Amino acid sequence: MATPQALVIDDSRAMRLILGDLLNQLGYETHEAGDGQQAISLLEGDTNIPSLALVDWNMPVMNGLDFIKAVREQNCYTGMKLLVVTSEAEVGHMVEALTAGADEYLMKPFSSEALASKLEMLGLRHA
Amino acid sequence: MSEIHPENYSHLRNLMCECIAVHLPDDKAYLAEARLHSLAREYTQGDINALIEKACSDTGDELRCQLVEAMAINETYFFRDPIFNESFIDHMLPNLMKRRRSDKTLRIWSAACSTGQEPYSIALLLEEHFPELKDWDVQIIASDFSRQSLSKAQSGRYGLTEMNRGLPALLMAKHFEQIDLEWQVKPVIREKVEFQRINLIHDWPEALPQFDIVLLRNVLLYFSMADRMKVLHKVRSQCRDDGYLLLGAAENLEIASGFTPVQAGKCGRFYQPG
Repeated sequence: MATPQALVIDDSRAMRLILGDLLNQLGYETHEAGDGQQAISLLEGDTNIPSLALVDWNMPVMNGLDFIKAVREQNCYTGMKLLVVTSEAEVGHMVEALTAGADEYLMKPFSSEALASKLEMLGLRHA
Repeated sequence: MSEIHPENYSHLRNLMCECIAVHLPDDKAYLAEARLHSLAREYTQGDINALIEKACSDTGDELRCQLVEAMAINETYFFRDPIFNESFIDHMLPNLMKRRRSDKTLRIWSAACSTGQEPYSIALLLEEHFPELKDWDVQIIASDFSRQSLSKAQSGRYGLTEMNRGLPALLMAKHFEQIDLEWQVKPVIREKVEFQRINLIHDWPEALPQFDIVLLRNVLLYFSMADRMKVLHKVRSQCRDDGYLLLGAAENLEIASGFTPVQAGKCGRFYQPG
């Protein structure tokens, strides 16, 4: 079986490393983008669409919410689950993200169990 | 941090066994050192040995109670076992609703509810999946021996770590209110759960009803065989003949417990009287 692919979109390099490491432990091969626009370029340049994208909220150039809206306008990405991973912990943000098409929402700081639990909710637990 | 003397660890093990029937293994003194740290700071300038000695020699029960509560395992989270959620939604509830359609009553007991995530998860499942139960007399009783855990459970207030584990964002947005850095279960859900202080190895309240579903999850594994059987026989007498008993995902029941395992296809395993 092919290794599942995940895209980590966060403007913090440290956070990308942490998330990438956690996802590797959960059986994913990861790709990184520093903002929503970079992530879209990555997706457009690759025929292999990841099954999961972890999306930060506050990022330069294109923030997480705009990325979610852009991705959900495209039919080709319907199979990609979008998990918002953010320090924005207000219900209003959560509702906005879910309404825009996010599948789940994880608040920073979080534990590895919490990330695994979200993947399980999304039916994406591989390891 | 002070190291527990073997005789004090032995006192602590006896205390846990007497009060809540929990058997601490020989080699877990380090856990006690970690769990009793803040209580020791409060009462004995951080000295854990002095804390245990004080609790054992005190004439009142208060400090002993606090010690046992601090030592107890409170691990729980929302929607802890996905297989349980499926079996609850697809099997148990539809079957029970068929059988109870004339008297329209449903009694559910979360028998070791800790800080409340289990009974609130049940209340949320009922709210989301069974709107027709609005006309029914549904009672969710949640109990625990620990006053501290029950107090938190009753408040329905949870921090970020607790909210991140197991709770789908949609339910969080719908059924919780934000209060500063915490979230609180909305009153309409909170009011569906009735909390009681019950120690499973002591006498149970006479007013406890006969239950359709009893959740006794991840509790029995800490008990001796004799205490397990004692509790199970009491649960059997509290469970309706066609009711259900749910244990933790890794738990099994002995023969002669009064319950028989039922494998419900993809719905996982639960127990019924018999």
